[in-house]
Amino acid sequence: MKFVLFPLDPVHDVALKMLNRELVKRKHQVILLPPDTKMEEVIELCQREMPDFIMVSRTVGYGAAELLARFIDMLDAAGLRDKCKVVVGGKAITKELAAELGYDAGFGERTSWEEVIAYVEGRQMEKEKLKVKKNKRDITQGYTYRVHEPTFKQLLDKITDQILDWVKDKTSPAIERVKIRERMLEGEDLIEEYLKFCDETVVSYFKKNLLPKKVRFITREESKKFDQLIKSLKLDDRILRHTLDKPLVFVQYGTGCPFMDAMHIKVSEAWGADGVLHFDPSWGARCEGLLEGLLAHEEDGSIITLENLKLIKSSLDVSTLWCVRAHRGLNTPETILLAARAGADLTKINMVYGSLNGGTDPERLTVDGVYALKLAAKYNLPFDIPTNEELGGVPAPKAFAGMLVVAHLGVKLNAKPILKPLFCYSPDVMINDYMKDNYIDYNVAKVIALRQIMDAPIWPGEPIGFMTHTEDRIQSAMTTALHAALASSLRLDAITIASTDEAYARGAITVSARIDTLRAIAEAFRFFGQAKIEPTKRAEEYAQMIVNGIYETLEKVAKREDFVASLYEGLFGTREEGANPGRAGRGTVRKC
Amino acid sequence: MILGVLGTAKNTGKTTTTNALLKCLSDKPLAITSIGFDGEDLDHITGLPKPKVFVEESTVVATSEMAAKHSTAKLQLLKKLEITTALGPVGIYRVKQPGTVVLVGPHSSNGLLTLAETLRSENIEIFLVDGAINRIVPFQHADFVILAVGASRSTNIDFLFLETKVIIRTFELPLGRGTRKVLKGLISTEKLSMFRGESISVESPMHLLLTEDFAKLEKLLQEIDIAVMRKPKLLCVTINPCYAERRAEGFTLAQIDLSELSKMIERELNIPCLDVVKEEERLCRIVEEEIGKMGTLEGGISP
Repeated sequence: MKFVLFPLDPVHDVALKMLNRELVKRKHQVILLPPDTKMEEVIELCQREMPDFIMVSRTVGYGAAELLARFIDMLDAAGLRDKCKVVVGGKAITKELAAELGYDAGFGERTSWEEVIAYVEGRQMEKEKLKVKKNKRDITQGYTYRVHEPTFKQLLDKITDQILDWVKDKTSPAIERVKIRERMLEGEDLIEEYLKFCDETVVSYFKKNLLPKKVRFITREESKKFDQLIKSLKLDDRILRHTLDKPLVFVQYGTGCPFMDAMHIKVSEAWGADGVLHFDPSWGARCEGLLEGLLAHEEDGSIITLENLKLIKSSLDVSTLWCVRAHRGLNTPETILLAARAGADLTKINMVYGSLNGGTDPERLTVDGVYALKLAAKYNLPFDIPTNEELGGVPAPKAFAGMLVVAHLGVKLNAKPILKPLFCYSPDVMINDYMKDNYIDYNVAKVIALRQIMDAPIWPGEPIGFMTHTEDRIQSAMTTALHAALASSLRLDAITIASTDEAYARGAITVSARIDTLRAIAEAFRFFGQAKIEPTKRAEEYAQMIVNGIYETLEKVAKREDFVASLYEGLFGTREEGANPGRAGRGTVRKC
Repeated sequence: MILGVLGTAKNTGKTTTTNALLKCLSDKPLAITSIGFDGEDLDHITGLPKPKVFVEESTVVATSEMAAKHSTAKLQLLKKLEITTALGPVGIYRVKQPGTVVLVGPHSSNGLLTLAETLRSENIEIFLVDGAINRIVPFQHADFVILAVGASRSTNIDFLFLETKVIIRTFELPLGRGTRKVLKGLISTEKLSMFRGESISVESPMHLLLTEDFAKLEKLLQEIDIAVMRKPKLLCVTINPCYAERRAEGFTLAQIDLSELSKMIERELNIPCLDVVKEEERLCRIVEEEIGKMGTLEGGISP
């Protein structure tokens, strides 16, 4: 085919030069005119050459529309209009504007040359090929979970064997409930039996129809509207990673209102998030038993019920990875069961962090945790192990020792763990000045250390860059993006990102703040691409220090020969370091 | 009979005029299209609100399928056409329930002729064509045109007057070719100036008007004996004092007083000039009078 490329512009002709490159490659005949050629000259040339396509580029500015329309009129007057196709391209060009100006097609900002070539070669590309296909990924794929050093393996084996031995003859209300719940889900009516293991809040809900404070039912009409809303939403998919393969980007939601959650999810998907994390309200973690039905409430976190989870699931794109977090409370095993039933892809279990930040009693969570790990294995839900106790002040080596114990335990029980160190400005970092020179070395050190010990997926969170953010949205988005770039540079598997108002929001997190960070990360990924961030030598030194610290901790725990006692006694972090063993569910573990 | 509304720029009031014509002519068998895009909510460049095109029951509408879907009027598809646009192929619809309509019509003279030809079979008496931006060439085949000028083209009244004057002059050129030298296709002022003192014939007034230099064209019109092979009759000029003014925060709607220009056009160019918003009835009278003169309309379209 024959083309005349005409920049109807005093200077800008880059897009046409790119098109020229591609058209010539495809053996088309192309005449590329210089910018600022007179329209009359172009008409004469076209009369001589009779091209199949005249492609005009123009940045729409003042009077440009009139100019573009006059060009079409000149072609019409010259008898050329119906003899060749005329296409316009430029930053502000839309299909509608092309139609208004009388062009056969119009291509605007974010058009790829592939799209234009497909159009001129008569192929349908716009809808089929250009639609971004997002696929669900298995984060754990390809990892062996091997512990590299025999010394570490011995220690971890010893500790985890001891845990399994210790829990063997123990049960808890949570375990009893999940056993009943499993049968109830099969259709048995066992509510009376179930309520025997529940707190008053749950009992009075089922028996007296009393809802907890600030909780309300979602009406049938509201859920019908929810369905309509989700069906009517048409958002294009986007991928943030540019040329990268990793990391997957997750956002967390939990506004208390499933509608708001769904909107946050849809916006995040549209701006390129790969996955979402559901977290429940903290009071739910301190209550024995779960409620039922479609429920909304007024505080942070969204209530875990099978109905709520199914509602959220119905709003998710098929490609979106969904993690339902079994918080760190008294309903951990049951949450995993419901998550699996609602179709979740991932969950969270961490007995150490769950016990040490004022959450659940260590004895109770150890018993529940092991059972939860078994359920995660049974329902094939990979689980992540966050080390959020770092935020309380626990040094990374101690937090990581706990994480590795839970990971190794999970592997023993056939579950698939994901290591979740924090990329953050933790109290440990502040006190010891690990980030005096840069925010890179210590974060890199964490990853080097973990990789030295175990072959497992790594997903820093929750979210990345925690405690580095300020109220300034630019600063916040920028810092998040830099941490994301660091994660991609280290080829990590996933990251969780905050929205720019997350740490300082004086109300609900806003959608625009979510988009801030998603856009910022997309730009960071684009900027670095396959290039890398280079740490200084300090990273290796820090890594060695962390590995040594993990070893020391594991050695002490192994020597103590009692994992639960180790938690109470501060071996995974002392009270001075901010690791306070939780009290919820204390004394509820029974022999069975 | 084709009645076209052409403008000298975006937002000179073409659609407002078209809407007034739709009202005036509502009792006649009517078809409507746009040679570009009409009836959108917001301007594609300035983002300011635009007048909607409102059609009554049984009006025939030629628009693209995609645009038809965005119309509030209930449309019944009569025929799909081969004519394509950037927003899909054009079809002919009949209005089943009145409402607004988004018009995306043929973008070339030939496209417009083909469409007019097709409309013959629908017994259309008047085929109304809303212009687009400053597109004028497709109107070479119209029987009547109305010229929409306004502040949107320029806020310089002298310039507006000169441009209007030159346009009107070209419409006053005699018909015929005789022994004249026939120049087909586009005539730039540069080319035209080579024929000083000669007698020539060009295809239509529109073929002369594609210049940016109206002063030069005016001079050439005096120096050369030019006839045209076809031309529509210019019924009147409409004038729109509103324009989109560019500000730091975007475009806002502004207005200048064009009453003086209006008087100058009527007095010196001897053609009715009116503000459609204020003088809708006058526009109707002018159009009805001309259509009445046509007398026998049974022949339908006469391209």
